[in-house]
Amino acid sequence: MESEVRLMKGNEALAHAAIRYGVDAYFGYPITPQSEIIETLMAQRPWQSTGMTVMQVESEVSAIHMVYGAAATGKRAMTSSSGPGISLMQGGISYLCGANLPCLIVNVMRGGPGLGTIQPSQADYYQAVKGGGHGDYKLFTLAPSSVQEMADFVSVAFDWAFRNCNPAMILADGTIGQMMEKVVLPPARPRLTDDEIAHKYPWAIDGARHSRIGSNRIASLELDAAVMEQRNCERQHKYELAEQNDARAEATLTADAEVLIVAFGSAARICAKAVDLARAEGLKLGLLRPITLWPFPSAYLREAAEHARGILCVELNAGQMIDDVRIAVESRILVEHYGRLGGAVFTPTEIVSAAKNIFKL
Amino acid sequence: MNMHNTLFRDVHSAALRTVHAMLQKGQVTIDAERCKGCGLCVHTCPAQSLTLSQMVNSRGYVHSEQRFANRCIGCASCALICPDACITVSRRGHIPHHAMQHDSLWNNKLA
Amino acid sequence: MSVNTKDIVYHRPRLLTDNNMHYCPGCSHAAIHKILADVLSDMNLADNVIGIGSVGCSVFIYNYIDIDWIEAAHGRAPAVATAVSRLNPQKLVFTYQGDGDMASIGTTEIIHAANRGENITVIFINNSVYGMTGGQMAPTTPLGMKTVTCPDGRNVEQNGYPLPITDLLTRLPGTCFVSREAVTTYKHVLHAKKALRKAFQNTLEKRGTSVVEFVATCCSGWKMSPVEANEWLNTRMKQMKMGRLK
Repeated sequence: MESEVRLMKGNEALAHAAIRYGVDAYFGYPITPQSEIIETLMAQRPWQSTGMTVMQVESEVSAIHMVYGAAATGKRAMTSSSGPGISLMQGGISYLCGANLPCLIVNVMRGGPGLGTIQPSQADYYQAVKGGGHGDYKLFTLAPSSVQEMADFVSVAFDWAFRNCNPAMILADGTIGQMMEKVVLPPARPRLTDDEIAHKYPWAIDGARHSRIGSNRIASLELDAAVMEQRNCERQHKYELAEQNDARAEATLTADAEVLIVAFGSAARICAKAVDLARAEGLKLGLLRPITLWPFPSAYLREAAEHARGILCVELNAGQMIDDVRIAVESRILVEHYGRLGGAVFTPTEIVSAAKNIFKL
Repeated sequence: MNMHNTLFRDVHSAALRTVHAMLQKGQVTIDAERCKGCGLCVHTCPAQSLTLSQMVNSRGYVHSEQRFANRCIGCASCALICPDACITVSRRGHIPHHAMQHDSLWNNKLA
Repeated sequence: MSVNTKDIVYHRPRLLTDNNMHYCPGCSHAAIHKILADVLSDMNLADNVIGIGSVGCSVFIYNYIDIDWIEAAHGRAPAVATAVSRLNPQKLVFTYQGDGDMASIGTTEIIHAANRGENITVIFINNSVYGMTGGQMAPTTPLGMKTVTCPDGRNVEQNGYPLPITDLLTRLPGTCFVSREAVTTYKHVLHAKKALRKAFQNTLEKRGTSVVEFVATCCSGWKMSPVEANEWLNTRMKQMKMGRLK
């Protein structure tokens, strides 16, 4: 399949991109607002074209452990869900990190807590970047803010995950998942063959190497504290390198910004419009959009905020990313939060007024 | 005198060993270090050939031993029941029926 | 009589590693590992098998049987096995699960995997208690049996009935073979090996889910000697349907 320009929803774009990237398996359970991912995969019938396995399974718990099983054999496996389902997956995500397995988890966020609402929200930030499950682990977390990025981040996430043997997450929200935009779908590439997997990923279980080089195992258990500490240190070292090298952000009009807005995902889309409105009024607003939420782009943020007298952290939650923003600027700049909760979404004018009120512009 | 006694005992036990060896159909080798002394082999042996030793192994378990080797019929019941797979059984003559069903029989024996 | 290798009628299975198993003396787990290793090597499967371990006393099974293993989270082995089997259809995929794992925390996964008829073999070790955590009540604990969490014996009012998970699995169209075995006498051991071989054969022939339940002992949990535990279980087995259930 060649590259193709289409008009589609973010969820659909992600599903198409997964097939074109050569993902081996998808396991999922329907939940609003991301059910189009599994629906699109089923409608495309990739098992007939690329040989990709797509399964609707009994629960999110089973789905994440199926991802674990597939990942253990070196396959590219993914799942998707929304907040309530992602919460159920946390145990499995911790096991994936503990066993150093790569995979992709997509969270199309909705309002919570509890069953909450099906409207968009960004309230799962802490869960994604601070470790929603047990143990010291991190997820490489990408926050798309367009349908194009929903498609593009599939390959970014899988490439990072397999390079670092750790799960990656795409943290979108209902707005990005449901809205329709023009998207350029990447050209298709074939799935890896079993021989290629055995060659590229010597850690993968293939059940066929007993006589050649001895048997293999995937496990996260270790009762010897010294060995366990060593494994944890190696994992943390991997994370340190990622923090140094893999953070991404997008800066808009930050060079002369008096007040810097920091926002991710769909909120950043609205904030970009707010910056335009403010500039038309002569107010010097700039926008920094973290593309990776972990590793958090702290260096980019410090650079962007160099001349700012204040930072407004705009999120569709009660103030979660603001912690990382404050840590990044070491609280030397006033950092304030503006947000809406429970599925409500702010308008660009609302954000401009908030910036004016808070920073007396 | 003492020397004579020792010599006599050695000759006597050697003779006994020969007689026993002629009677004995099977032989059990127990990996005493691996044995945990659960006693299932002792209990299951149809010929009462095995007992638990008075000795303990380096892990602190009393282990089983074949005290009455001449009684052994080489049926391998002890090896089949042993959870820790520490018993090897060898036998001369025909192989008992249920041991035949056991697939760990070496192929040349079955052939 | 010297040991002549030509005369050997039983030797340690070649797929068992040299590690000493950590199980208590007389534990059924060890005996089942032994026959599992035997069947795998007899069927020449060492280069064609992926085992899914689970949580419980058998969590270290990968240290004892020298094949490829994936350690699954508590109860999730059938989900892991589903993915492994679907993505590696040429492999023999089996799970090894206890009753706390399969009949309690993992009922969803086993019921749905079996109902889909996944091509896996499920080895289910049912010793009626939670062994690893210290002998607590399991969903399979029989009525009247005392454990540390039902010190007066399991009763219906407080704990409900024991869950006949294996019998439930026979009702699902996805299962092709369900058998109840034991390792308390050499006859049972030989029978169990045949059942295991049959189950693996079904999986290789893609007939659906095969389940082999082992009614097992837990000497420490039951507070009995190994011989007493085996005898007690032999008595109890007279009230159970043993052998092939489906």
